[in-house]
Amino acid sequence: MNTRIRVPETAAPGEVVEIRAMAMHPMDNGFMVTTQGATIPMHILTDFVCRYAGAEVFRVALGPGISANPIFAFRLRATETGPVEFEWTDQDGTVTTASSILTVA
Amino acid sequence: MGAGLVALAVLPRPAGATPDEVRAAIEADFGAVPPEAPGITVTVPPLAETGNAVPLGVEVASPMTEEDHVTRVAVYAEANPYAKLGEMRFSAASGAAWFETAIRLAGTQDILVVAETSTGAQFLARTRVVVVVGACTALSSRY
Repeated sequence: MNTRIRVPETAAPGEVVEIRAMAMHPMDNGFMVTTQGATIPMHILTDFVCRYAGAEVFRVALGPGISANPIFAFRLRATETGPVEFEWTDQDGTVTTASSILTVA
Repeated sequence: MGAGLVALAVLPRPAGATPDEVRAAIEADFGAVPPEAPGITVTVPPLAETGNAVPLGVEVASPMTEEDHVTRVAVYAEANPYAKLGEMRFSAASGAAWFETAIRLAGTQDILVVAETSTGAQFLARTRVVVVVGACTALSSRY
């Protein structure tokens, strides 16, 4: 699954920075019907979590009410240089990860 | 409700939730329906042309310290097929109880945002969104 993340390259110690993460996923809600009349079964991401400096800074339990290609913008407090790690979990258990280094100086 | 404003042939829509179902979902998640209280800022367009991707922004005022921070925020919709849209969790490391995302709305309705903090405080905000064409509506004229 394709993902896009935006993490600032640098931050001052203690600065609260904005993070953006998007995943390309249809988030089929189970209600759509093909032109042949077949119902498209539900297929969604169920979890998204962002970890930084040993803590979970943002976690989402997604439902079918979240739009397709789900995008989340959130914040974290920059404390130490290290990776900001992202993890998406599909309803079938597939896990997709991404990460980017945040330099704190 | 929103699809009734548009005179187009529509395929059958899924049954929507009711305010009672949302109340039951909030009680299941938070123990009780908390009172409406200031502190939650919900940013959502008052009118959305399509319910497929309605931008939603939520900010909960909080010092976000280890002793006092927002732990979770849940979003509910009173007329969506599924009453609960999602739940977001925060820690003191989040820096701010703030997020932006895009949600699906089946029609014009109230959305409820419920927040809970590490001190056990719970509060709620209610916002009305007018949706012209609901998300779960498959318009036959589109194909």
